[in-house]
Amino acid sequence: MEKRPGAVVSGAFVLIILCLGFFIIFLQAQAPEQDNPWNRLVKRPPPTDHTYLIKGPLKDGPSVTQACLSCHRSAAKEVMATTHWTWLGHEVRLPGYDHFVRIGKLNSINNFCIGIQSNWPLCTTCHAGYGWRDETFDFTYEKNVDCLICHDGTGTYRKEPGSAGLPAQDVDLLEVARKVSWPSRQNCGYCHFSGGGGDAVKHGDLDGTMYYPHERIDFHMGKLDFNCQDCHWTKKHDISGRSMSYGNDNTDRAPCTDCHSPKPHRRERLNLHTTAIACQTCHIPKMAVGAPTKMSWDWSTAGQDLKVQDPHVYLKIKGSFTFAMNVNPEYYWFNGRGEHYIQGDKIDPEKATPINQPLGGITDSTAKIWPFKVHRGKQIYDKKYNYLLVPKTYGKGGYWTEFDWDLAARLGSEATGLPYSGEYGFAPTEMYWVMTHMVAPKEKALQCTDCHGEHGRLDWKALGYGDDPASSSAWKQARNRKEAE
Amino acid sequence: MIRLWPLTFVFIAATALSQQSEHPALMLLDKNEENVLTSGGPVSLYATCGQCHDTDYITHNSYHVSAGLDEMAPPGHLSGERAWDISSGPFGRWDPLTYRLLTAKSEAELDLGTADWIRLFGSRHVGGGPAEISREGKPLEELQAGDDLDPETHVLNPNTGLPEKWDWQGSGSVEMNCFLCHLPNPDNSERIRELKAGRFRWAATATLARTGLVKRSESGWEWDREGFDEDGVCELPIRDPKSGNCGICHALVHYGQEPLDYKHDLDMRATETEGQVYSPQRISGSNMNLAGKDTLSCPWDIHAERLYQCTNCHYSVNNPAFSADKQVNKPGYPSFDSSRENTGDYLERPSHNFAKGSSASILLADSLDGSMRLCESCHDAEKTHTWHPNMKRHLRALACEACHIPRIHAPARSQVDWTVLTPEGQARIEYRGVKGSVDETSSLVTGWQPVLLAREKADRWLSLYPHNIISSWYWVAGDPERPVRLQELKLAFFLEGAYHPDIVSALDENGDRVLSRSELALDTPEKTEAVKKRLEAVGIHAPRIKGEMQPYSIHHNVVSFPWATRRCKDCHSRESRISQPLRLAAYVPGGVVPETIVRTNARMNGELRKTPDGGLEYRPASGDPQVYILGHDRSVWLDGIGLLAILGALAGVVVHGGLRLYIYRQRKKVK
Repeated sequence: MEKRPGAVVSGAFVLIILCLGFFIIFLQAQAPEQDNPWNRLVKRPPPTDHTYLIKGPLKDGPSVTQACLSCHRSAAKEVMATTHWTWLGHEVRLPGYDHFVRIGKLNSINNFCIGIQSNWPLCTTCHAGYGWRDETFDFTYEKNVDCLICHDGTGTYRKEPGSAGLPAQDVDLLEVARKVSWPSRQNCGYCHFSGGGGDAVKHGDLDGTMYYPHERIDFHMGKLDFNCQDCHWTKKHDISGRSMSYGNDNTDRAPCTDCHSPKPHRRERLNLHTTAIACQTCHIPKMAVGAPTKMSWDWSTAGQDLKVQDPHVYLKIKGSFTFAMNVNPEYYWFNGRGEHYIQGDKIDPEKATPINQPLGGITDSTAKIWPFKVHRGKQIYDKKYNYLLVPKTYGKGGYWTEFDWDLAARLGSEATGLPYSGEYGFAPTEMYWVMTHMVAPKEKALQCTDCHGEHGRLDWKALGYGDDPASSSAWKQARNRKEAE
Repeated sequence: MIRLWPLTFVFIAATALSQQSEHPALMLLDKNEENVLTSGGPVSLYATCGQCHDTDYITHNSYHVSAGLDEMAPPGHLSGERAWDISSGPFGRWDPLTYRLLTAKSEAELDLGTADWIRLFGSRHVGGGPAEISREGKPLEELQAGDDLDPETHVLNPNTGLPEKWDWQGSGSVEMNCFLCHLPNPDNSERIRELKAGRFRWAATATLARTGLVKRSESGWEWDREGFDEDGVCELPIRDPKSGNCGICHALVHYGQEPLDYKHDLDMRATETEGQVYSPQRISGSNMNLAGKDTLSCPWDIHAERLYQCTNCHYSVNNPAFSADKQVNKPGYPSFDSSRENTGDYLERPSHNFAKGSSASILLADSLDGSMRLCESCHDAEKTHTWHPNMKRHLRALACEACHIPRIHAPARSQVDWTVLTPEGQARIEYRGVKGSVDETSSLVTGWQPVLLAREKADRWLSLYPHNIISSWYWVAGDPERPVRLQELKLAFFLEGAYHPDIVSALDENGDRVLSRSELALDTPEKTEAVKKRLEAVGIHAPRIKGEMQPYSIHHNVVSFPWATRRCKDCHSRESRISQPLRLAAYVPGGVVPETIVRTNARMNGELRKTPDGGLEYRPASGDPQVYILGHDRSVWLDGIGLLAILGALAGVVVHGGLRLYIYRQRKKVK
């Protein structure tokens, strides 16, 4: 048989390739399945260039919306079905109520600026619409939807404070409309970072440091350059995520497990914790990492002409405040739902009234221990009827111009429809803000001794454990539990 | 649903972490068993705690108490010890770090009498033992000072340098101080203050200074009636000792949210000698000026971070919760021995001998060696190191600590030089792991890599453990030789509060008549000779320099997997971690090469090398037959065999190919 060296070489080459192929397949088969959050991340296409699609002139906000709707025909309807438009949550049945209610910014009380009723033009600066000046606002008029507040890609779009959400005069609407983009941190942060009347005031885990954060502020945004929508997946303009302030149903959340495994740790002991501990509890060890957040607000001291006029200490129009930065959150059981103060609910002015107390407990299998900012306020209430009042603060007759609490309460009550007795006082309140942003790098996450042991930060007794569960023998826990019962 | 996951911590149940004390209220009694409120006297732990606990049993079963008192022998009679050591324990074994020598009964000159030992070293002694009982077994309070020089009844006056009688009846003695270890916040500084002042009987009372039961008064200590109920009973948060209690005498132990602050202090012995810090805090969270601090996100010690207390491993040897799984002084054949203490017996008579390992430096209480819970007692390394090639071989050759203590991030002593004295009359001390003075917070702490030395494990195999080595130099004189007393050293070095002119002339290199720290070094024969002359001038006969090396094994500062040494090339390369040298000294006093201390279980068969800058380093032995490291060690015959194998294979290919070619051509010709 004639020797054919070329065939031998080719055969050897094919054999080597086959071996390599088998080897790679073998390796892949052997490799343990890895939890790879990147696989679950939503990948978005680049935004469409609208430069040549939008024709001018665009004289006002509704004109821009009209231009948008000429192509995106269903967009306004989609937006109008969301809480960004309605400022009302889904129908829920709150504990202690025998009927379903819808609550939201539209009709609720908080312990920052208290309520929007009678204060619409200023509060609705952050409404995703145009012209919400009073209770007559038409929620069905599509052209009032503000597309640019979320889709501005220039960073120049802004609303004039007190203008009921209208664009500022100096905004070049045509330019902004031509440069629309996917929502960015700037779009969301415009409202959400400055809730409560200023940067970092309200949430404790959302503030201006997150526009361009260092990874020590927020790992996902700082290290991985995430946008809000990378976690808050959006379908038909309905953005997932649920604020503690008005969210009484446990739906449409943006949980960590959208990307991460429910048991993501290499250490089994840590994974055991996940049945009772929210991811955030360990991975958000501090709140207000880069800027101080408001921890308390005492309206009762307002109206004085003090020398101190400092937005972090005292303002005549608002009263006195305390701020704190890089502080430990408080920890409570939370099953995703909460109680909520409904206008007209009776209060005990001697005790702090919880406005949105989280629900859950040690015996609730759906609850976990979560980190919270608790904002403690002292706000106006009706001394005769014993309920909280919404004062008119902004605009004609408002407290910020007249410094007359009685007048403010009267005008505010006209808007809410609740009777006002003419007697007012100030009562303590508490508002809970669950921490879900400012996720620290894993190197900064809580360690065993941060919660357990003599110097642990959790109040185990208050959480229902009786004693630090890592501390002592079973008999001691049993005894403590018995004592607690 | 009640969450049950916390029960995974039940292992550490025996050392409950709760602040709450289970201890009943108690009456504080004085030594006459009278309530201290009535007598106004110092509290007696034996009378007070002895109401329920067998304090006699405890004191007789505690090496922390005896401190070597029952192991005393005349100088030169202890095997493996120095010629002047009179015990294997702290009471009688000379320590170059503290220098002062406890004087034997037979010595003609007094250095350290018993009372001075208490004043000087009582800060790290719990009381009882030699602080209460004489070497002949008599209560110290019964001793009367006679005219004969007796180290038990005399002390050295530091001002005159002359012996003085000690009044034991006035000072009292130091009872074993239960409060020091069993209170969450004992006032150790007040206790030490009383000891240093020679008010020994008040030391235990002073430990209660933070409880509100007692306060300092002009005449001493005064009990505060408000801290007691109408029956004269008080509540003290007495509990199991926690790591913080151990840290009072042993190392820097830090818990809490405040950033860890490092401060060097010989009382924190393990920190000073080994850089060991026991804290759950992340290293990056400390106040220290650490190099690469941001990247050091591991805790100082993973076991501290996982809530383990010292007593989880170093438990009382008759604690029924722990001792059951250790067969100390018991036959090995039963796998379970039910004849153990019950809890009631244990609470009455808890042994205060604590389980220990067998470290390179603390060779005392030999009977307890290997009694502690070792790494293997809790961790099944074979299950967690399956990724490791040739795992079993590695687990035999390397102690867990070798990889899991890759680096120390606190300074530790490297050199102690008593051949010169600092202006404060102390040795010149060098630290490793810090650039600049260890006293300055602005100095950069660089950390350091421990040297790996072989020691026998329990299974008799040689394994590599991380160590620090401290080299010490000091003057000795006489026959039999003794360290030159600090008293004479000071006389030689100082005159009227300043350096003696002869010393300045000899050591002052830049001629400014001021001795800087760097000039305090006998690094030339001339300087050595000048100091020797000064010593002779103050009456020291034939002074000479001696040097010794003491290895200190490191078992804490354990890091978990991500921070452990785990890359193959870390060890299997020319620059192997295993052969990395350790700098011993910045200079060699008197040119004397230090000798390894005899009484150590670490194998110091490496070599000492002088460095180009005049320093000294220890290089671990290479090519140890039991620790042959592939990729690092070389063997000529093995290299030869390898070369022959390669050449043989080449030759085989060439011959085979050549023959094939030859045959092919032959066949072609035939065709």
